[in-house]
Amino acid sequence: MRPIGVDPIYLDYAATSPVDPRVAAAMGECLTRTGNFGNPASQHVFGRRALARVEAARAQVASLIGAPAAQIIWTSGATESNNLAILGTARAARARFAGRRQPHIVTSRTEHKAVLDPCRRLEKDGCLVNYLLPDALGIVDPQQVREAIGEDTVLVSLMHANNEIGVLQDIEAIGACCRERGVPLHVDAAQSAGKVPIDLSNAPVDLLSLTAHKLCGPKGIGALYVSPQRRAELQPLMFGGGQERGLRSGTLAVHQIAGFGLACELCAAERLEESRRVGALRERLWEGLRSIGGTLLNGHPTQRVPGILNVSFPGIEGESLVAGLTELALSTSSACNSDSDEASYVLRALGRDTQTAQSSLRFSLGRFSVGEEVEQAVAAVRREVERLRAVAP
Amino acid sequence: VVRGEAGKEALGTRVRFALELAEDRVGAVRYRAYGCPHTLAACEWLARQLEGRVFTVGAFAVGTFAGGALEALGISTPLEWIERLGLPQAKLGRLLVIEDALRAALAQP
Repeated sequence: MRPIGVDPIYLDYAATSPVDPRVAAAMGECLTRTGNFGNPASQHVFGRRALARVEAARAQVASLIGAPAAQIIWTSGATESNNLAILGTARAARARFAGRRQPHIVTSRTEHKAVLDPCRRLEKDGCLVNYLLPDALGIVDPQQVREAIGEDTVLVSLMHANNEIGVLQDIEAIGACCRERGVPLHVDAAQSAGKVPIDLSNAPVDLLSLTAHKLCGPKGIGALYVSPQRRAELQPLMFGGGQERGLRSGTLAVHQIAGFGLACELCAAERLEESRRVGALRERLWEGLRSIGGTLLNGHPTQRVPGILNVSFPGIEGESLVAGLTELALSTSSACNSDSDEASYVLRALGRDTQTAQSSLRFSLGRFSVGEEVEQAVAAVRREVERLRAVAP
Repeated sequence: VVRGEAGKEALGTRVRFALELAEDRVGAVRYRAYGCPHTLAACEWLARQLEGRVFTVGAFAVGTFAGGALEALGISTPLEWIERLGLPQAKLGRLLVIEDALRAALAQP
């Protein structure tokens, strides 16, 4: 059990990450009177300085994904980027179809709620949505996408790395199917950017969502990459000052943007080494948890981001397991709390039964994770699993 | 020793109780449970509450008063357990499973 006054071990980097001190310092330089506090839309010197800072950050973000800086639109995070990509595309399509046809969107059942909920909203507004079912390892077959695309398909939206199980989709192959049919592909890369290579100069991707706070950057800032070919097919969701070439009005948050830019630059510079280090920690964690016995790995064993590990303990009640792990800060896929016993829809889509889905834990490691924490996590999980197995009927 | 069981793992809660009965009182109480932390805590609390309890006069005839054995031991209802232990109202269903397991044990001939 966790001693009083001692913080638990942070194993929830997929939820959010602490801001890197270097990033925090860069952000601080954009806040005070002696720094870049100006409004980038202003014409005076303070505005011009702030604008230069914003454009430098735009180039840093674009560089991480191999895209031209001009194609990056600032948003408040991946949720807004996903909403802009999906709702913005559907609105433009509805205007084109003028009520004669219904726009059709293809996505999957294991997407983040920030994709599923806009899609459900569009269904209420008369759009058609196909929710593809991945295989038992969480992979969507590009052939499924090819078969789902129809005459009125206006968008395919699939995430790169799944936020619960860390599985990576084959975006290049899926994008190739979309290109064959002339349908734009939107990719939610919130969990993969900076963790695995993304090069949009070669990948057939039209829209790509990013967020800073999974990259040791600040919360409240993200971006949407929009390919030049698809810009005209996107309608804004917010109206006001016409910033971001009319696609996303609102005064730009220079300190957030500067932090996001530096976070991307640091990820790009350190990605190879960090991926190896974090991947090795994840393997060490998996080997430790597997040795407890009866542990199931959720998702593809190799086609995954380095930092996310999702495991189930059949026969163990999920809420009791998490309640006993007071020394660990991690997420349960069970969503089992006093108000809801609903199991993870992602794990259910992979074919796990409700009880197994509820007994799952998502460990996510990141920049500040160390081996000693992994060892302590394994020992804590072993203790709780053995305790609960001992009292089970 | 009388034993009673209720619930299903697939539904999130399964409880098994074993009560040692001696003369007019309850001896040792053991339980096994699959369930949320509230379920485990309630089982533990009830086990300790039951140990040493004396049946009210005239009521001690296990198996002859299936509906009222818990009452005969002075054990309160799940609604009162929620109050006593400070549990969320949403957990009432799980507490009813515990009650069923105890009643099943005490209903045994």
